[in-house]
Amino acid sequence: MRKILILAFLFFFSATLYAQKYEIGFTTGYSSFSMKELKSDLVKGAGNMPFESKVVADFPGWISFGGYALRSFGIWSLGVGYNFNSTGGRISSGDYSGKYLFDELLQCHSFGVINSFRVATLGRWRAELRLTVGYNYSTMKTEEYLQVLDTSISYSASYFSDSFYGEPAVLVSYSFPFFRIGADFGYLFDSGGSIMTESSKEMPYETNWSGFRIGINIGLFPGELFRKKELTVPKNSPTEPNYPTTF
Amino acid sequence: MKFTRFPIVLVLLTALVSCTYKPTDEYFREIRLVPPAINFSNFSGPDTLFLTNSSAIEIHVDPGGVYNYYLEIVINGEMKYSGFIPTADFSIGGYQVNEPGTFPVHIDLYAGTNSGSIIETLGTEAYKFTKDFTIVKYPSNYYTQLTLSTVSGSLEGTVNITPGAPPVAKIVVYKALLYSPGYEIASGPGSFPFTFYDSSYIGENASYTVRIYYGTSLDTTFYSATEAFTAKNKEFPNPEITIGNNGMPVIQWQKTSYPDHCAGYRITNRLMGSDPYEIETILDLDQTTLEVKDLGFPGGNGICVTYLPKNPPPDFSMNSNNYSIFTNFDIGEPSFAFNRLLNPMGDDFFTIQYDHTLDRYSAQTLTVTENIIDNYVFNSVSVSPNNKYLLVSINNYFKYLFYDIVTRTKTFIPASQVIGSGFSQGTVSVSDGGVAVLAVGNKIVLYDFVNQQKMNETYFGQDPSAEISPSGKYFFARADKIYLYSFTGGNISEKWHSTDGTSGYDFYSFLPGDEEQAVIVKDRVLSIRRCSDWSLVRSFPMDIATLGNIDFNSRRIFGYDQNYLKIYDFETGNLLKQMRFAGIGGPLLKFRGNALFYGGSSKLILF
Repeated sequence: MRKILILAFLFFFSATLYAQKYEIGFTTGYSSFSMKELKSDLVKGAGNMPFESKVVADFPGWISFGGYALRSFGIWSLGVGYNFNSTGGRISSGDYSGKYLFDELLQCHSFGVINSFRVATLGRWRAELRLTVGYNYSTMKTEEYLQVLDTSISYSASYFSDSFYGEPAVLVSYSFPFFRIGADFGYLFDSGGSIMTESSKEMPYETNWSGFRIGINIGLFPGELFRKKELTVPKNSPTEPNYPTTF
Repeated sequence: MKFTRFPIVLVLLTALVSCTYKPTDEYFREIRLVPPAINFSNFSGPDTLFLTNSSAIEIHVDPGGVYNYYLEIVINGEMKYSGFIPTADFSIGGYQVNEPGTFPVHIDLYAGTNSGSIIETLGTEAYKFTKDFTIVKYPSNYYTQLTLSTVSGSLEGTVNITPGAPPVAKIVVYKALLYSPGYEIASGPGSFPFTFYDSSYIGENASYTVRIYYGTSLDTTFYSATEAFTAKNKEFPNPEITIGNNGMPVIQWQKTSYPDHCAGYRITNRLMGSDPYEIETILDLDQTTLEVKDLGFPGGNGICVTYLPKNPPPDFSMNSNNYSIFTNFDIGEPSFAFNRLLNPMGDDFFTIQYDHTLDRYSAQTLTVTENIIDNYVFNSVSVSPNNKYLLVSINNYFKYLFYDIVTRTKTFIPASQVIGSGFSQGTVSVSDGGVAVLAVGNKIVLYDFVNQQKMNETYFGQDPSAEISPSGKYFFARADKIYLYSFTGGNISEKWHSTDGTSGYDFYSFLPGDEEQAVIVKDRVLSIRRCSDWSLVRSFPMDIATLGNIDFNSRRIFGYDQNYLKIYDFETGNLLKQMRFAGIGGPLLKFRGNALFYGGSSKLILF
């Protein structure tokens, strides 16, 4: 499934390159995550420790980044996108005799199809409503570390999960001749994915990346960028370059 | 397109990739460890312990906190014990070494900190305390002997030990009246025979314990001891009772064999259910008899003689059996048994046993002159005040027995003829004329048993009981109040009623010789009042809790309180007699003539 989606993404991306009215972009932002079951399990785990311990990281929100490619059809744009998120949890204990750490490190690769509708334009400003639906592939790594005096032991294990998601968002952007800068705000609904061991044994918990998403994105217009050489206007020319017709 | 034209993009990508989340916070807990102050207090001496197979040394360790303990005991290089122990107390026993001899002992005591630290949780943190000492195990085929004998009026004890014993450093002798070992009375170094004297002994029950401390020096702490226990039984026999010339009981006991240590004799008596009370304390050691007065009736008297020590031991108690001897004595003489006794004027009285036997007795001979009822279950019985008629309500046949005491004739009358349908469990009371008041449910029926005709009836708010006068002219009724009615010409009219309910009215009846005068006992005050106008004739108080009965034959009143039986003069109210009460009262005690009769088959002549 993962390979199929990656191939589909690359095919779509390559098929749209060098075309008119195209846009490729990079995004970064901040995401929050539900992770309800993992949070609960972490608290239980801390309570069951034979020595006093605390949950010091509880799957906090963290920085995300990604990219996208779009093709405009009037006020409607269609494209594909990728996003990377990460978070984690930790049980910690320490005293004069040693320390104990238990980490759960999660990463999520999101592949989605973007539907965007321009709803308002004001000069170089424009506003869009965007709905992205897609597939999440998550990895989880647990790392356990115990140090007593001069002796330490560690243990790690890897898991994975997959799920589907939908993310409605609002996007506001400002355009320049060859690119635009925008900011978006949305919420990602994750169907939740059961955590599996590497041998595909299902664990009693699931990942859930649902949460708010805020970000900024920078979009480049390849068509306009390459056409720029042809449309270069001599100095002191009264003629203004043509802006993309989608504006 | 060359990305070198967009270095910002490369920087951004590199930054974002390096921003994958990784927790960095850690929790650290400050724990302050306070080492326990392990105190092997028992090991302050030379650390050589003497043991036998049956002896063991308790070792107490006070760590001053809460810890988990793990103990290892190595004797002569061999691990004898290893494991967790619940407290820091443990013991070293002679059984842990097979053969007699001298052996090195090494103890490792681990006190887990309970700190809650990571390393403590893993079970690898504890304070370790060690101790080395020596045990000397002796064979067990020796024993201590304690013999007791009386020498010149004192108790002499001798302690010996058989050969093969370890060296003895100290001997201590204890005496106990109650709980061994008691208190120390002698001690000395470990040379045998060891002789001691008990200067307080006067022949009592006592136990003696000899504790032998093993070791080689008195200047040490003793770790191991064995005990020998000897019981000394009471030397004096129980006292004897004889009846003296004046008919009073005389108690006789044995003179003390320890005149130098005995202060005298204390005579006490204990009645059933009561605390003992002193009869007399005799300081003349040569006096060994006493005429015992102030005994109780009915029931048994537990007469006790206590030998008094001049120097009472610390655990001496005056009521202890160790110094006392006992005998039981019942005063009075055998008589007839009864559950209830009916006591009219005249030469007869009647007894009831088990609610189905009614006997007529001659008051002169105290013998049964007639068995009136034997096989009927009856409920209520009444004899007329001047001994003319007897009336019985018989339950199991729903009829009344009307008995003419003079002619000894019995008449059975069906209950239906007397009171209509059904039968009542209520009281009956019959007059010398044969008219009776019968309590039937919530009414009183007046019935003439001579002519066998119903005369009248009257109703009450609650089930009443009734008492009729000698001729039947008056009757009392007890319901919500105490009522006095006159009954003349077939008509009932109220003469008086109480204004304070029924509480406190212990007795209400009529003088057998003058039915115009009623006798009322309320709140321990006896009053005689005229029936016609309820005016007071005379009254007097009585210091009693319960009224037993009024014997109109002797004109004496019998009553009692918790401790004393009392006889009052009916005319004057003077207290005529008082004696100890053994606690069985109620209908089982009746006074008639000059004697107090007890239903448990005894009587006591008081006058």
